[in-house]
Amino acid sequence: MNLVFALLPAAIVLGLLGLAGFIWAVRSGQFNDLDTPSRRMLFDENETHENEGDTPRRT
Amino acid sequence: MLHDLGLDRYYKLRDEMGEAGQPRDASATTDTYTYLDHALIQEKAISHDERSGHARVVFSLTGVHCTACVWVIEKLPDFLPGVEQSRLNFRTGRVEIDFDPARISLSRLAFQLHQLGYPPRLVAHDELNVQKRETEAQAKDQWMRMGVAAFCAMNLMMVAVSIWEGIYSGIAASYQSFFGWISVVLALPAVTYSAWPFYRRAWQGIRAGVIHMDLPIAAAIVATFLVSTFNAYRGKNDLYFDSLAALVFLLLLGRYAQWRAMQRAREWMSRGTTFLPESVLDETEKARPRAAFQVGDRVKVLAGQRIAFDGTILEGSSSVDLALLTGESSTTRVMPGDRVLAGSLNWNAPILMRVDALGKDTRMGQMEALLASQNELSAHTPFLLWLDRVGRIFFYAICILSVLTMGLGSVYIGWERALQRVLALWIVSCPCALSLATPLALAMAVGSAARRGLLLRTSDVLEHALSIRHVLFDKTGTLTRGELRVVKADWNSSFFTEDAAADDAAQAKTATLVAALEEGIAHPVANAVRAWARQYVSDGDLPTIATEVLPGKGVRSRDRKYWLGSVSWLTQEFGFKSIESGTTLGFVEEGKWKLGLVLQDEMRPEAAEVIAALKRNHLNVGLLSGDRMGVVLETGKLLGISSPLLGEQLPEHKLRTIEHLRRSGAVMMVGDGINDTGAIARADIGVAIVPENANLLHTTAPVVLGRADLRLVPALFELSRDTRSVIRRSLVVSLAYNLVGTSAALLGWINPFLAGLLMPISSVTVVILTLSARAWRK
Repeated sequence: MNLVFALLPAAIVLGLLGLAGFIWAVRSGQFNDLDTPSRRMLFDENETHENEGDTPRRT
Repeated sequence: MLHDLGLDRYYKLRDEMGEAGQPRDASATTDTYTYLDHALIQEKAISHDERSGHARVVFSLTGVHCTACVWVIEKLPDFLPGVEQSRLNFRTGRVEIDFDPARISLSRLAFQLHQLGYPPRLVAHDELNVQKRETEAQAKDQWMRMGVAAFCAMNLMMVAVSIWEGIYSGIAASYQSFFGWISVVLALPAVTYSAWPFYRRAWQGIRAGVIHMDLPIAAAIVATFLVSTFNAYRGKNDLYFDSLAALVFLLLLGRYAQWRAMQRAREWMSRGTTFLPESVLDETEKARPRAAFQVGDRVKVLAGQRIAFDGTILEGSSSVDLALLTGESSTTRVMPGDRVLAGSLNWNAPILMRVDALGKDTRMGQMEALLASQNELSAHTPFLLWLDRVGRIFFYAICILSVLTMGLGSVYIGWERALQRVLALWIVSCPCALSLATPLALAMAVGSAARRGLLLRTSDVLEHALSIRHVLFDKTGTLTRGELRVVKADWNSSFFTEDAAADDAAQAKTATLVAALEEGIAHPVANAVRAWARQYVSDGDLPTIATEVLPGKGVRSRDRKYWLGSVSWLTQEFGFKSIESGTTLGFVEEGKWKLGLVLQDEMRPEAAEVIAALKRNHLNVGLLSGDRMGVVLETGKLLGISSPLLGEQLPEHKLRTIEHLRRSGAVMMVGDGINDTGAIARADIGVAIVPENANLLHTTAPVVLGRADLRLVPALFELSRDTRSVIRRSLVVSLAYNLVGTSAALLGWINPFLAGLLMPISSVTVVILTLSARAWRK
């Protein structure tokens, strides 16, 4: 059970990694627009690539 | 066009989502946006992304209303070479486009956006920086504090499980103390960094002598932390760290929700004030930036375009929609000679207009300036002072209850359990209606009023309106339009009874002569006559007639063929008999009476219904005018005004009447703001219905009608009543919540953690109730 003295802080350090990731995400502005992603979720990226194959691009 | 670009999916997405399209704006030509390539504009508009070095421009788009729109706009890089990235913010309608200026020009980009159906408006990048960065910084701050609190709460929960297991089946002292101290360390970030805003606001409140709502919360957090730390030190297992961190997290979450709701409300209130088009067509239909035009320039506005200046129509007849200025969609026919306002939409046909006012000097600009100069809530209203008092009583009550609970509780259940109840009490008690909902309701009311053209300088007008007993109107310029108009044209039947077609031609010819005679004369009568004649002939087609003006009588052509003037003068010169009474002017051609015109200062069409509406609300309506008693009596009869009904009033008489009336109840005075300044200032609420060509800012009345519609007066009363109901509703909800919550806390039914859960719920409920009240949408 002495292991607990080492494991507990280790678990917290892992948690801190997660927190660091969150802080980075907030700082880089990923939480600025919370409305549009809900719309973007509905896009289906695969289909658009098919279309691009069929029609030539305009310049 | 969408098909050509392989973007058929747009329609598929759109249909799947079940969202219909909207009618599009005027179609653009390739020249519409060429002004964007001007060097000055480029400088203002283009910024550079720090990491990639790409040029970035931000457009505000209209017409973004569905998922398919987002999809199409974000697909720009796929079919526009030179565009690197396109990111749309669905809520604000702003798109950030990263592009390479060497491969695609700004004008082409804008044109493409327009062709897709989203007319773009440029947003200068310094305009963005101020408002957006600030809001973003605030949001980021809140997210980080929430994130830290959540991290602490979750890990503390992890440790707490061990502690609880220990309570259940025994635990060695060394482990207990280890877990205890780890908990203290884990709780520190939540209690210091995350909870900091609460401490700051509570402290600010104390310094200002006000009991801020956060004071009980801050005290509860600190007390709980100290008690738990003390227990950890003593090796006890009565630790509340996990609940504490979770509480902080929940409180922050609740505050964030409220903050977002307020942001939305603010955005909603200020939308519609900056819709003027950036690019305007000059008379040769070449597009130039709006800033490049001066007073006196001629501007062409196509059908579907928004008018950018206040001006006078020179050519073309159309209908304009004043929705931006009045809040309702209603079109008015306009013809050459009519005035149009910046912000209105030209519906039918192209018009050529002359610029009379730009930017700040337009009616719209004046309204904005007036609103901007509004004081924030003045703290002088009796209602707000009453709220302050209630808040203080509330706090003292909580203190007394806490002392009692600690005292009695220690005796009956032990001081630790008593303390827990007290902590729960502090957290649960929230005068949220007072500090959140009321200011919000007042702000929403002022914003809603402004959108309809009812400009309130301060929000205490809403409260004062509830105690008004008398409403006094001035006559000229208030109940009447303040300008003469031709209300009847009596064509002499002996000249005009042929068939309809010949009649029309003959009438037009006569009207032309009449207008030509009055040309160049700057007199209200002449203006009225010319306005009337415009339905027959346009200003530019008038023949020039050499005239001589006889003041007080009329005007005649030098060759004495055509005469236009007062009936008495013409009767004197020509000996006419049996002219219909009430005729103001007569037109005589070669000695024969052809036309009689009746001119009047027309009563506003809505005047009667407004008076009736006010009377229905048990208000006493009166009329004070400087006009002759006879006219005043007649007007009173027409509108149903009986007392006070006073004519021939000099300014000091008006003041005395108002003073006298005030003894029996608060008085509202409605005048034109220019000639009635004394009376308006003396009344309890002064309302100025400013004439069209005057500046809104020149009056000091607390209520200014941005458009000349008397119906805004009963609307003000209605809004006051509605606002009061909204505030009352919030107070009731808050009171109910507090009664239930404090009882539960005192009886030990809820622990501090549950209290922390309930409190944000109640605040958010009250805020949402206030924001969503139907009163703001009327």
